[in-house]
Amino acid sequence: MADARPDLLQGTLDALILKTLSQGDNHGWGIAQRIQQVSQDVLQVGQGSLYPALYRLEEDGLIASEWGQSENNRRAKFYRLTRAGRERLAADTADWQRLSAAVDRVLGLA
Amino acid sequence: MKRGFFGRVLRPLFERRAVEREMDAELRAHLEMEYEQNLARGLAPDEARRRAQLAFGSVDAVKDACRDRRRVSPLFDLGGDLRRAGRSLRGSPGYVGAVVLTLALGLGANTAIFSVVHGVLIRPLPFPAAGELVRLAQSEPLSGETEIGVSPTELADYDARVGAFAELAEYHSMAFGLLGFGEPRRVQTGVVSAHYFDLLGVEVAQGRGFRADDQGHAAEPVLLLSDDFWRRELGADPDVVGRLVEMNDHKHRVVGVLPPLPAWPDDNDVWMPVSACPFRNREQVRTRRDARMLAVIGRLRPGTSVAAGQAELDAAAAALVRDHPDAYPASRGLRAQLRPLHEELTADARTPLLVLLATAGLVLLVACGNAANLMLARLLRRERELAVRAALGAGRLRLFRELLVEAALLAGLGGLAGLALGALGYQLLAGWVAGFTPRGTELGVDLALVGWSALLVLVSTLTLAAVPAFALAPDVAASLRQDGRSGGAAPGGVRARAGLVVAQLAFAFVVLVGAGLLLRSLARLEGVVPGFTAHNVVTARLSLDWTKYADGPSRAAFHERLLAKLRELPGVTAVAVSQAVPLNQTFQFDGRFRVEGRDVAADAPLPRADIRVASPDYFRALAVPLVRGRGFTADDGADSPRVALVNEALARREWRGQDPLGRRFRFDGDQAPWIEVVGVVGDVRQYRLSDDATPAFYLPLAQQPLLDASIFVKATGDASALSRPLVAAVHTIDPTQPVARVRTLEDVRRESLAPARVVATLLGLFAALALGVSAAGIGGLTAYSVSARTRELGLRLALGARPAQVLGLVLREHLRLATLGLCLGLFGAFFASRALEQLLFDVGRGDPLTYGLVALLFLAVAAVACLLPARRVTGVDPLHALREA
Repeated sequence: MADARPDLLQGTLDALILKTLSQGDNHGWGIAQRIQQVSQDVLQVGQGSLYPALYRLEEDGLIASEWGQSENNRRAKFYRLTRAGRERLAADTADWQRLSAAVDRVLGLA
Repeated sequence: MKRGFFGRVLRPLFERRAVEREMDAELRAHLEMEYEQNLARGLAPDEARRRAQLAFGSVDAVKDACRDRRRVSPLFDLGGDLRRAGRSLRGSPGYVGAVVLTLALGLGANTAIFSVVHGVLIRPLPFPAAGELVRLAQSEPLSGETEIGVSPTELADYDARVGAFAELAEYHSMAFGLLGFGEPRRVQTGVVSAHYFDLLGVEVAQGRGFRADDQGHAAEPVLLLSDDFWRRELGADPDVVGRLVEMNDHKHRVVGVLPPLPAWPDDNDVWMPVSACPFRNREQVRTRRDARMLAVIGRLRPGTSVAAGQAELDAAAAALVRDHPDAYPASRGLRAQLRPLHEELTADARTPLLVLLATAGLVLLVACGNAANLMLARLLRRERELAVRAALGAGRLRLFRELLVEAALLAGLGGLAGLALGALGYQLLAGWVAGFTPRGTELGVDLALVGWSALLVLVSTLTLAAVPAFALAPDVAASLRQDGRSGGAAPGGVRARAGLVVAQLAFAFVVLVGAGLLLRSLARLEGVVPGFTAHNVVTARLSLDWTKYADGPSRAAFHERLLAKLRELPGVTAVAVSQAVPLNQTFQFDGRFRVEGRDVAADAPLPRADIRVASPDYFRALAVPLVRGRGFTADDGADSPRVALVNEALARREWRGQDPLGRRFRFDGDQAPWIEVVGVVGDVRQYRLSDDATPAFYLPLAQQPLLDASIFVKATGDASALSRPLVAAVHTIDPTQPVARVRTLEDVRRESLAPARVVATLLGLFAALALGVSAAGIGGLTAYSVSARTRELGLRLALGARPAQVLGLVLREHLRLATLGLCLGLFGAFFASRALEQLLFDVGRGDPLTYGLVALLFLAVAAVACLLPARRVTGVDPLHALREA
């Protein structure tokens, strides 16, 4: 199944999800809210991207899920980072730093 | 990747429903949280819910995306794909209707024809190990006799000399009167060896079969009833076994009822063992080597091939000729042949059925072409949607999968509708097939038929999906780069549509030519002058009781009395008796004869001619012209000098350029009396309309009394009104005399053409179907191209082109496709018509008139099909079109 979406975007969303989960288990809605808050509304994650990404990450064993109670006593599916996820986050973060430093240099910001 | 086989393959399979439920719950929870947050921000509940839903977007779309991300293998998402396809198709009922109807017609035609082909040609005969069953036939290759029958003496010889047979059994069929089942009946009686049904492997349905001791000299005569006779004539009477009935002045006991069987070798009502047949047990039949009245069937030993059996049989025949040189003159030769029973039963049906099957296949191709075209048209309309989806990451394979599922859904619906149509068509066909093969009674719907339909549906599905997929694949990306206007963007798609239309038209043309040839052949047959006039003549078949009318004078007296009675009926202008109705192949008699004063070498074969019998008014009743001399009169009695008439064909052959009147001849054997030719009558097509008249003698009824005869009554008006009086007249003479096959000669003539008419009609229907479907195809293409080019055409109009010119432009373009289809079709028809040659009468397979007329019809229909949608061009408002641009 060919996929035309640029890898950069996809990898970035993955990294954002992994980073959010490294700060504590969360459900889908919580992850979206958190990314929006932390980025001060710059990054908005649509459900159409979020859930597919969550399912794929789980499929790849980077995160795991279990059903639990939300803060409002609602049944929700919580995701947590696995060991593999933690390693991937470290690698992705390093990659991102290298990439953004490179872009900064090119744009003359550094 | 990390879950291994179970996790990746089996879990999704087993847990699909659970996974779906989980996904539902998760997304619902998400919506609820969004809603609660909105409430917390102080929004009213309605507004809170609306915003939550707005923010989320389409739940289905998210779920689809998730399923994709979960990399559920295509097989496991069939349900989802089907749902999606169903959703998308529900929106276009017209499109679905058109595709399903087209496919249903194509598939239905195939189902119906295949049911017959399978039942007749493919399915084994309903006998165990039917491959071992053969027919043994003798011929005289040197005298041109293709089938001379087998005598009981010869049968015994073959039985003793040929080791390849596990068993041989004899068969012949006679018509006997039967008393004891209500009114007197004439029954067709199969006379067979006691082990005949054991050899075939047939078990009786009721009672018992024949036993060896039924054939003993003092044994009680016994009968088996055919299933058809038992049901039709006796109302499936459960107490029939054990009943006593009378045949040939003897009591016969019914010992059993047979199961349904092919109407073969004849459509017999009852069966008796050899010992009960009065003819078969005459001294001369039992002892004379040339009393060849039997048909012989055999079962080869298991593992023996027909070829091996044939080799042994050749040796046995050679030994017979060596041992009995007087019985087998070298001038005639003798050959004994084995023929597999299956071939024997289906030979006549093979060509027409295969032609029909091939034609139905072509019709299906046309239908598939049309359906693919409709699908392609729909995709072209959705092209931008597809392009956007492709750009957003929907894989090409995924789009193809959707296409495939949609195609499968449509083809499946078409297949179901086709099965229903096929079942209808099959009912119509079943009766017709009986005219070609005794297997007509065995047809039925079974697994193979369903399998065949499923296979065709699969093929249709693949065609439907593959054609648009390949046609569009390169264009999708290109279309995204175009401006936003809808318009015949994808050149590949349009080219493919044009190609499909040309292919459809070409196939349709081939079918049209086939139908045209057969219809013209049928018209030729209908137009044949058969040498007699069927108008206002009613006929019936009378078979006198062999024991009651044992000698010639009693038979002659019966017919004389009957003719006198019939002559008295009001409105009757002529009455006559002959051995058979014309245009009937069942009754053929011929004989060898010697012309007085003409020497024939001792071992050369004597000339042969058909022998027919006629009462004096026969030629007047059927309006057969008397060409020379005189006809028969009442003075040509049993004791008068022997006389005969000859037909023109015989006069031409034997007395070329001489006057046959006054010449004398006698039939084979030097003891027979000389017979004088007193007249020449016109030629009559006695056996089939398609066969030229054969040379024949006519003998006067009084000098050649008949046991089995046909009665002819010519009336001034409608002859069918005379049917009842005819039967009544027979019964005033002999109340126990059965009267069979009462019908008019016009009916006889019509029935003789029934098989040819059905093949031609079916092919005509197929052709109409193919033409209609491909006309819809080219019409649809024209409509599409007109709407896609509205801008361009409007521009032309705005620049001053007259509407007629623009119309001409559109028409020319599409008629070019029709012409291309016609040329390809001509080419195809020229080769395909070879298969028809055997079915054609008096029409060449390259008949220019047929091709010309078909081409005209074809172009006319194509022109109309293009013109109807193209006329819209003239309605295009140039200003409107330009503003749109």
